[in-house]
Amino acid sequence: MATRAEEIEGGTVVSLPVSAEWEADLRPRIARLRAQYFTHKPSVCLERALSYTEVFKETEGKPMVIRRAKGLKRICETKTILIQDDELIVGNAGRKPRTGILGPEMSNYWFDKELDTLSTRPQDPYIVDEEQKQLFREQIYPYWKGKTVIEHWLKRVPADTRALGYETGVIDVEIKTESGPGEIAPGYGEILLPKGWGGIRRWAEERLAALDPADPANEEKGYFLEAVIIAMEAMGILARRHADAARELARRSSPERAAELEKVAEVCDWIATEPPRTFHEALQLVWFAQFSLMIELNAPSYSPNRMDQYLFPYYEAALQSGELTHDEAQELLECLWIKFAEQCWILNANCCQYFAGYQGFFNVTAGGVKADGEDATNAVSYMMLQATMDCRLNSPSVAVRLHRNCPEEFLLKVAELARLGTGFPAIHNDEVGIKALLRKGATTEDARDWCLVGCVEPNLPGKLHQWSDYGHYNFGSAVEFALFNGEHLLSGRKLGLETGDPNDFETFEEFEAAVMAQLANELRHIAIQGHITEALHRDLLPCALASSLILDCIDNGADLLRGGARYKRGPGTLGIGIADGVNSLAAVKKLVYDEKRLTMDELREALRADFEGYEEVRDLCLSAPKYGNDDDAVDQYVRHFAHFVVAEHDKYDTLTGGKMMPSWYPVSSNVPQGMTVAALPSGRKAGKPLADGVSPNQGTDRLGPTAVLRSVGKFQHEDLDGGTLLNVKFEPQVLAGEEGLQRFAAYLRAFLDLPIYHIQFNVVDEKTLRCAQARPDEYRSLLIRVAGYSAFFVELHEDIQNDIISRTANARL
Amino acid sequence: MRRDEADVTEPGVTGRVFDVQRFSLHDGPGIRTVVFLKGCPLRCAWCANPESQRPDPQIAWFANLCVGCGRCAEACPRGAVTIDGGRPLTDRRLCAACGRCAAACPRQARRLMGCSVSVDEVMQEVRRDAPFFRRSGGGVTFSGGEPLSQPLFLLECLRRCRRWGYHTAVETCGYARWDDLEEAAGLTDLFLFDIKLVDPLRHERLTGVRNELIVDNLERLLALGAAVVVRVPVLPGVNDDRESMRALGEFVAGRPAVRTVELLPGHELGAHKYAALDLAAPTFGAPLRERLVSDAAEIERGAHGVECRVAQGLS
Repeated sequence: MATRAEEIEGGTVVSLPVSAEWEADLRPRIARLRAQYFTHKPSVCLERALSYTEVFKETEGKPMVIRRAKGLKRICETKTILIQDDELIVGNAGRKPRTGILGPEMSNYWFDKELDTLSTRPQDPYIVDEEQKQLFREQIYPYWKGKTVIEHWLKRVPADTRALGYETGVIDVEIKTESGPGEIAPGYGEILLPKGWGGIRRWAEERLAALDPADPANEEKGYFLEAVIIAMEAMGILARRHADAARELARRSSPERAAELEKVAEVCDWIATEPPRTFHEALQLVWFAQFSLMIELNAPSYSPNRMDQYLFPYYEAALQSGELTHDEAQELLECLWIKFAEQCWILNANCCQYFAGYQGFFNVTAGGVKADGEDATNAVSYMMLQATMDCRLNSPSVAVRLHRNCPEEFLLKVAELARLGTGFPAIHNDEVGIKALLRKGATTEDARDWCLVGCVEPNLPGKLHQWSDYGHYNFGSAVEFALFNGEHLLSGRKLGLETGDPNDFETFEEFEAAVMAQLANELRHIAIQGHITEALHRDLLPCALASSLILDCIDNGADLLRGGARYKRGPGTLGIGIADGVNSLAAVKKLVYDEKRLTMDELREALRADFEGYEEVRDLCLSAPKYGNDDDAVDQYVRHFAHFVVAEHDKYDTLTGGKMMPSWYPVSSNVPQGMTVAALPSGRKAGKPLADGVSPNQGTDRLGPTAVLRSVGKFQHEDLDGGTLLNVKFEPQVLAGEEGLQRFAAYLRAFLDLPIYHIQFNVVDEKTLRCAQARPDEYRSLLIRVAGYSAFFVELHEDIQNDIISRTANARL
Repeated sequence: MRRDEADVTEPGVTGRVFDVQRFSLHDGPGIRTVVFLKGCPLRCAWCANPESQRPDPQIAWFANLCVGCGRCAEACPRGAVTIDGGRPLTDRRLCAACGRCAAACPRQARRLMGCSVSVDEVMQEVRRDAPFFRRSGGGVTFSGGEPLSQPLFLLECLRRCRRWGYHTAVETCGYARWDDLEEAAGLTDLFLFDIKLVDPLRHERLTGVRNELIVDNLERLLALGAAVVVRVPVLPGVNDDRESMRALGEFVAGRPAVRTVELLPGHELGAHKYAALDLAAPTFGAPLRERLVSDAAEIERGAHGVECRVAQGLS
C-alpha cells in the first residue's frame, strides 16, 4: 500500500511515516506528482558546465562578474526545458528533475576523479552516463584545470592549516571550496515580487546611467550593474522558453491538460519581465528564482524564507476575486513543494558525508511576528504545514517561529505535524531568534522579520549577507589535544598546540584552560583558511543574480561578495560534539581531580588504547555525570564553552565586512567528524559519532525530555547567532490522542519560556524499540513512562520489552 | 494564619525519599514531578515498588549491569559484601546501607535506595520543571511508599508548593492519622486515593491491614470537599473478578461525592527490583485491558455521574 520514502539523514535511514488514510486523502494530482518524483533517480547534468565553459572561452579578459552573468544567460538560452505530466509549477536547474548540476569553476578535479564511482558511491550516488563522461573529459575538464576555486585554495592555504583541515578533518573546511556561498534569503517579498525581473533591470539601468565613469570608484560598480542587467535578461529568456515549451506541449495534449498548459504559458510569459499579479504567478516566479540561483553558484540553502508573509496578499486576492478556491491554492503550493524536493545539490564523496541526503536545503519559514511585533500567522502559514503533512518528502525543510502570542490553533497544528515523526517542522523560539538578529546589527523592526536559512540559521530576507559554513571544528579533538599535548592520536601527528604535559596541570582549571586554548587554535585555523576562501569567492564567483535579490547591492553597485548587502554577518563556523566536550570535562574533573579515582596517566593510557583492556576505566568514565540531566555540575561547562567560543569569534574580522559567526548545529558532520577523534574521557570510543548540535550524547539523557531542555537552556543561545540545534526523542504513546497533543503543546509552550533557540523531535517508534533490544548500549536512556513506576527500556527483561513494544505499536498515532 | 507565618519553614525537617521522577504524566493533571517518599504501612502482595516499603535506606543490586569487578566488596567497611563466582553477595544482616559500595560501583549496578533530604533540597529539585507545570496545568505529586507516613516532611513540602504556586497531588493508601490527612487536605489540590479491596478481611489478608480506617478517611476527606480520585489497582485473582468489581461499583455508588475512579492495570514490571533486593517477586500477571474497559463502563452505569477510566499507564 504505502510508499516509503527512504532518505539518509545523520547516517541512518529515516522512513517518513505514511498511512493508508493519508494516501486516500491526498489530492490526486499531488499523488501522481509524488509517484512521478520517486521514478527519478538522481543523475548528473552537464548543460550548465558546458555553457559556462563556452562562455568563459569566449570572454577571456572581460570582468569576471560579467563573464559569469553571460554564463547564466547562455544556460538559460540553451538548457533543456522539461515540463512533466500534471505539473502546474515548472522548471528545473538541470535537464531533468533530481539532477546535480556541476559547477566546474569551483571544483573540477573531484568530478574527474569520481566519474567512475559517482553512480555507485555509498552516500548520495548520481547516475552519469558514458557520453557525459566523455563530454566532461574532453570539453570541460581541460579548460578549468588550474582555474578552479579549490586549486587556488590549495595553493594558498598554509601547511599547518591544511593538515588540520584537508588532511585529517579535525576541522572540516572543504565545502565552500567546492561550491559558492549560497545561504541567503533572497528578497522575494522585498524585491522580486514587487518589481519583477523587469523592474530590477530598470533599477540597475538607472543606477548605471547615474554613474560617472570618470570616477575610479565606479569602474567595478559599472561592471556589476551591467552584469545584473544581463542576469535579468537571462531570467526573462528562461521564463519565455518555458512558456513556449508549455504552449508547444499543449498542442499535443488532451484538452484538459492543454488548458492547464496554456495557463502555465500565460503565467511564464507574464513574469518574464512583469511583477506577478496572481498566487500562481508568484509561486512560479519564486521557483524560477530558486533554481536559477542554484544554477548561478551550485550552492545550497537559498531560502524561500517567509512564504506566508509574501504570499498572503496574493492568496487573499485570489480568493476574493474568485481566481482560486482555498483548495486550488493548496494544490498549487503543494506542486511547488514537490519542485523543491526535486532539486538536488551535488557534492563530492567526502562532502556528502557532511551534507548527506541530496538536500538543496530549501528552508521555508512559517509564523512569527510582523515588523511591529503583531502576530504574523495567517492562512498561508497553515497551508505550508499542511503541504508538508500531505507531501511528506525530505524537502522543503519547514521551520516555524513560535512565540508566546501564537494562535493556539497554529501551535496545535505544529504539534500535529511534529508528532507524525517526520522530523518536521523545526521549531524556533521567536524571541531568541529576534535577539540573534539584533546581534547581527539589525534594527529592531528588521530583526522581527527574521527567517531560517539552511538548517537552523537565523537570517533576514533580502537584507543580510551571511554565509554559515566557514568550517566545522570539533570539541572532541580539543579535549584530545589537551590530553596529549597537541598529538592527534589517530595519525600520530602533532596537529594541536603544545599546551603542556597534562600531568603538570595541578588544578582542573589548568586542564580546562588547555582545552580552551586548543579550541581557540582550531578557530584560528578556520579563520585563516576562511579568509582565503572568501577572497576566492570574491574574485572568482561574483554573483549578479543573487546580489540583485539582496538590498542594497544594486544601490551600492556592489556584489554580495564585495560587501554590497545592507547587513553583513559571518561567515560562520559550526561547532561539533559540544556534549562530548562537556562530558569529557565533567569526567576529568570528577575522576582525576575531585575523587582522584584515576591519575591523568591512567586515563591517557586507556584513551590511547581506545579502552581496549581498560574496560573498568571506561565504566568509570561512563558513570561520570552527563550533560542532558539538568545537573549543574556538568552543565556549567556548556556555558563555559559558549562564552569562550563567542568571545573567540568576535576576535576575527571577515572579508565581507562582518565578524566570524558562531553556530552549534551539525548538519550530518557529527558522524564523519567523529571518525578523526580518538576515545574521550566521556567514555565515547574512537571513531564513533560525536553528539549532534547541542543535544546530549546518544543514550546519556536519563531524566526525560524536561531535564534535557533545562540542561540545554543553560547558555545564551542568541549569542550563538548562527543557530543551535536540539533533537529530542519522544515515544509516540506520550503524544498520542487529544491528551497527548495537548501535552505536547504544553511542552512547546514551556520551551518558549526557556532561552533555547531550536527544537525538533524524533518520535520513537516500534522499530527503534526493536533496535534498542538488539543494541541496548546505544539506547540506555530510552525511558518508558508508566504511572507510579517508570523503567529504562533496556533494563527490562525481554518479555516485558516485547509487551511494551506491542503496546507502543498499538498506541501509534 | 498570617502570610509571613506561612513562610516559616520548620528548620531541620528532613524526609526519606527514594526517587524523584520528572515528566510524569499519569499521576495527576499535566506534566508533573513525582516525589517518592520511602516507607509504607501496607504490604500489598502485588506491590510493584518493593524499595518503597521499608522506611530505611536499602542497597539494591542489579545483576544485569554487574561485571563482578569487586569494587563494592573492597569499599564495604562492614564486610557485608563478598564476591562469589564473579558476583557480589550481600549479607543483609551486616549491611548498614551506608552507600559506599554504590559510590564505588562503576556500572551503577549497586544503588542506594532512599536517602535523607531536606525540604529545601526537594523543592530545589521540584522547581526545575516549573515552566512545564505552569504550561501544562501540572505540578508536584507526592507518592511513595505512603507520603503520610512522614507527615511533618510532607506537610512542609506541601506548604512550600502552595506558596510557590505549584499544583499539588498526594497519592495515598489512606492508612494514616486523620489529623495529618486533614492538615494535608488544606494544602493539597488533588488526592489520588487508593481503594484496593472493599472487603475488610481480604484487604487484611492481601495488604496486611484492615480497611476501615482507610474508608473512614476517604469519607471524611470527601466530607471536607476535597478533590479525590479513587484509584484501584486491578490484579488478576485479587480484585478482577465479577464479585469484586460489583462490590467496587456499589462502594462508589454509595458515595456520591466520588466523581472519578481510575482502574490501574497491575503489572510485573517491578520484578527486577525484587531481585535487586534479594526478595521473591510476586506473580499476579496483568489483567486484560479490554476487560478493564468493560468493567469501567459497568461502574459508570451503576453510579450516577461517575467517570471511571482505565489509567493510561500501569499501577
